[in-house]
Amino acid sequence: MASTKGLVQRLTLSEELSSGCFFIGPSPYSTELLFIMMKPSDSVLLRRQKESMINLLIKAQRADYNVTAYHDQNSAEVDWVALGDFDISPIGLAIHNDFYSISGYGIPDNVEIVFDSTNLTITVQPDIVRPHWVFVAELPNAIPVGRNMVSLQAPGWSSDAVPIDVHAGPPATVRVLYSGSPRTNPYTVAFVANPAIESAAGGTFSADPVLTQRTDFHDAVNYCLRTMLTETEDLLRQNNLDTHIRFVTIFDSTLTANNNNSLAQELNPNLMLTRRDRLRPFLARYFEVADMVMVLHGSTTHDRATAWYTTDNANMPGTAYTYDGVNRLHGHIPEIPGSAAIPISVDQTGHTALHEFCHGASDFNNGRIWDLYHDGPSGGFDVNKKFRANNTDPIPNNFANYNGTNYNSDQNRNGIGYPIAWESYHPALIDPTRPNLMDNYWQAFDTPLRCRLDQLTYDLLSDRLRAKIFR
Amino acid sequence: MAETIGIVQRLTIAPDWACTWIGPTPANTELLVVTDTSGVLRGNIVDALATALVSRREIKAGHADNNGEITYILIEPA
Repeated sequence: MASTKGLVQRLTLSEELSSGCFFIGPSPYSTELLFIMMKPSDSVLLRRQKESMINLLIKAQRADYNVTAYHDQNSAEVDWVALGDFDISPIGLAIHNDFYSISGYGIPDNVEIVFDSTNLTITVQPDIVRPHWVFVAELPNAIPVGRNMVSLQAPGWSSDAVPIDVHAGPPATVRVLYSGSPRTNPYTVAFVANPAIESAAGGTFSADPVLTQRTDFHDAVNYCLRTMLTETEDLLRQNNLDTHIRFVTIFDSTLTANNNNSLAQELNPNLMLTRRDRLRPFLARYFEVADMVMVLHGSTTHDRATAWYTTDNANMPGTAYTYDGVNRLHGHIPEIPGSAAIPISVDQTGHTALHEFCHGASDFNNGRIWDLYHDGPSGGFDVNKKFRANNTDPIPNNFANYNGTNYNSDQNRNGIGYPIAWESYHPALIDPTRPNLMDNYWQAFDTPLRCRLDQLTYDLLSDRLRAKIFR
Repeated sequence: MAETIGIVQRLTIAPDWACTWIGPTPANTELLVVTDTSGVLRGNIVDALATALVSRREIKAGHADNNGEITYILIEPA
């Protein structure tokens, strides 16, 4: 079997000859002539396959994709065709001012995205680079509309160049940023522009300003992804866990302010809550199912972020664990997704998005990751906070036993210290020099973005995410 | 019934089968196949896979839990 690889430079289809002729090669002047012929003796199956091959070659010509045509050593009649042998994968349409991402493997940190058109080369610095993925929050409109060759390039490293068509607009309503594990129901994080805000008193709905602030929405999504995937806390990227996570955005500026479209409610004086029971039906309208929904809103009066825990579906499979000898479950499928309400004006020097993600990714009934910056309980089973009978009692050395491993307590609450009146205490930190990511990380001596979780929360959330990701 | 979700990274069409690699990156894919394309819709599945490949669209490919024979595909609005 021989193979001929190249662009489909020229094709002719002839009903009279019952055949298609394809000139395949690197340039119009250097081609091999190959053909596909319909024969009276062809079975129905073979005839249909030949039609599909011809179809594929027509699409390849239009897209400027290289094809590989396999044929007998001594014949120009095509037996097989193959399309799509690139080492990177542009995801979705390239649209000015929309998100844009490209996947691949072994992508270096200092990579740039290069768009080559007939007369111009535009280099774009990605906002986020992971070994398997680069992400741009807004595709610059300096890139010429029409056919471009896109590639990733770094000193001493370059990818294949993939032909793409760049569009002037409009930006997509639903945008897959990364498609996650190739499996049923991949663990999905959705970033949604909240269409409407319910008043604190309830029952009245106003348009969320975020729907007229698309650029700020993009910036906020970029911030969320950055804190979740690139800062010191590696919860979501440890062992390349994020290669399995699907990320998607929804921005639908056509929606009116009503009960069905409202995903957030004010809580005075300045908090915004997600309307967690509305999330699943809202996403379903866009054929989406998510494990975590980051609701991005444009309120400037209720701009303090909050989160609601996931409620796992107790009737679906889960992964068992023990906490202080009690049998519990990391549920695999959410009945109600975890969620967080994040203002698009969020202070990007802090860890708000990842902090709220950790709340939301924990479970309402089988272990909540709770706030450590105040003394109170959540009202349920808190994984990361315990209480002494009296504030004068010593903090126990051992905080908890998770899956047979003992975890110590944080005796000093980093350098912040436990206020004298507090009865609560926390698990030992991964980085004892900085506050816990679930505590008041704004008090970090250098930057809040270097704060990490405690080891217990990290291990439990890691197991929980793995249980869901590999369900 | 399983449903593999991802980008169509590669498609090969042979005389009596087609196979496709679906996943988030070229290095992280599931191999799925379409065999008996003599039915009208099976052949169209192969054509739709080719369209999805060149348009970089995410698809969902339905198949049995224990084999990779595609029985349907879904391409959602973008």
